Amino acid sequence: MENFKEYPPLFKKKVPLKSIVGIVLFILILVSFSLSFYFVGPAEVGIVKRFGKIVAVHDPGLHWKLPFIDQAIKVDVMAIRRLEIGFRTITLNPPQYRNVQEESLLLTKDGKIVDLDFVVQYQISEPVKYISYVKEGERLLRDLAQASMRQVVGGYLFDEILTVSKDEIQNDVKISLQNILNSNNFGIKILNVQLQDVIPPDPVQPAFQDVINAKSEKDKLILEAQAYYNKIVPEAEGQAAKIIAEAEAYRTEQIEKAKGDAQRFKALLERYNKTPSLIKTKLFMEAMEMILPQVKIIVIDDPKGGMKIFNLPGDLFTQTTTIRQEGENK
Amino acid sequence: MKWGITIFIIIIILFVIFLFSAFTVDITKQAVILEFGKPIRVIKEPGLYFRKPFIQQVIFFEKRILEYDSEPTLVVTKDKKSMILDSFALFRIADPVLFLKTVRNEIGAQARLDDIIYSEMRRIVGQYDFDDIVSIKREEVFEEVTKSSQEKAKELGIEISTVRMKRVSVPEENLRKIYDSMIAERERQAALYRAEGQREAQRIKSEAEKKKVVILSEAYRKAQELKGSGEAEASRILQSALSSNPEFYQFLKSLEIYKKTLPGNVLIITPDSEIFKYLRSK
Repeated sequence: MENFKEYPPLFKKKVPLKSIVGIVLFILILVSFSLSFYFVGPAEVGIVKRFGKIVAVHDPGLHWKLPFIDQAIKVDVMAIRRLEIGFRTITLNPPQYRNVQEESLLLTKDGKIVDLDFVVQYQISEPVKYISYVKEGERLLRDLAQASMRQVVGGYLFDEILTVSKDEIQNDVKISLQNILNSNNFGIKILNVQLQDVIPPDPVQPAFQDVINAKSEKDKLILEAQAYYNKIVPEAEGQAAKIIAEAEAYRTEQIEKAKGDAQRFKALLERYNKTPSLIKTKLFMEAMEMILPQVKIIVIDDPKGGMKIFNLPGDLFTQTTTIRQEGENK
Repeated sequence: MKWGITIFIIIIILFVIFLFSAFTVDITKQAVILEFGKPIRVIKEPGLYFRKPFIQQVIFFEKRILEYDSEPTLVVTKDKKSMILDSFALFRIADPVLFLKTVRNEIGAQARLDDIIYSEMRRIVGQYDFDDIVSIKREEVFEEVTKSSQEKAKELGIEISTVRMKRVSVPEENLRKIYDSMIAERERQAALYRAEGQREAQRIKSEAEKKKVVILSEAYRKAQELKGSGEAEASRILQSALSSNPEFYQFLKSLEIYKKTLPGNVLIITPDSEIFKYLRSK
């Protein structure tokens, strides 16, 4: 090396070569250094694999690993993932869905078919299991969720599914799905299973609608009949009350009249007993006085001549009072 | 200088040997080492391993749970009904050596599992009635399919964890029948509601009519009772008063009747009538 000192151009050439090697080394060190660290996000778990073996599991933050040899895998464990079965969302705004019939038509216990959509929400709860034991976990989850739903729905009657048993079904599916995931080390936790549309299949819907119509028709008929009842019965009761009140009035009237008549008779009788013929004549005359001006009197002066009435002129009965002497007609 | 070159060459050779002999087994994988094509070692634990270069060969297999997914197949139940079953199975390669000998790889495994699960399903489904498979015995049926498939798959080094039904359905023409019976049932229900409505309305209306008749006839009875008792009472009162002089009563009553009936009428009388008593005697 000393000899070359005399040749500055050569020396000058050598220095850049050395520094190039230095720069390369420096870059290499820098790269190694930067590859020795990795960052785990706040919702993630970091898993470090060395020669295919898991050697470390890291919480969020900055962590160290062997450059080139260690491989870091980050798994989001907070995200709530969603699986749509029986339908797919096309766009959220405006909401548009596509029905997937082969997924949504299910046989029920009583051999009928129900159109049922549901959503499974899940989280990756054990990331080590999730990356180690199951290939294509999400695809399997879709198939398993369908299998569980079919199994559970097959245990219920059609009407139960449509009406009362939704909570039970959701819960049953959740439990049976979680069990099979656990026994196969999926590392997935089912948060919930939610039934969406649970409806009769399209071809039978008009018939179902008609039942609803029939039900409301029934209710309407009954309401009308009740209205009729509520009109007729009080009316009759009112009428009855009127009849009874009238009868009571009549009864009272009869009794009071009788009492009055009796009283009056007693009073008259008292007077009559004192002077019988006087009272009798007086009463008779008073009566005649009242009656006679208001009657048309025809006097027939023949006690046995009753038949003569038929020979009397017709106008006699309508004209004002005239007295004709029997003798005049002779 | 000579030594230096020799050492350098040796290092290079060793490095090449290292490159050829070292291999890693991932946690998701398992490996079989073959020597002249003959399996001599199974590696299930992940890590860094070595083999004899050139004479030993390493074959990797999945260690994770895999899915076998069949095409939907038509099977016939004991009561001769058809149903479409779309099954899938979860399985693992449990014995990679056996697996290698019998099916060689995952594609081969799918084909063999097809044969096993399909034939087991046909056989077992054929022992049950359609309704039972759909409802109460579904689990039992697929448990049985799982079990007997497990037995057969064991011979292939495969461990089946479960066989499940993604879809249990019926062929199109049977679907139509189910829909028709559902529609018929709903129609019955609708007719029942309508008939019930008619019946109930009729019942309420006739109840109303009945009540009306009952109320009015009861009222009539009470009214008649009241009237009768009033009349009885009245005649009793009168009787007790009149009985002291019936003749005078008769006279009074006659006068009253005259007053009521005579006015406005024609009175034909003879002159010897009582009214003319005084006229005559003059």
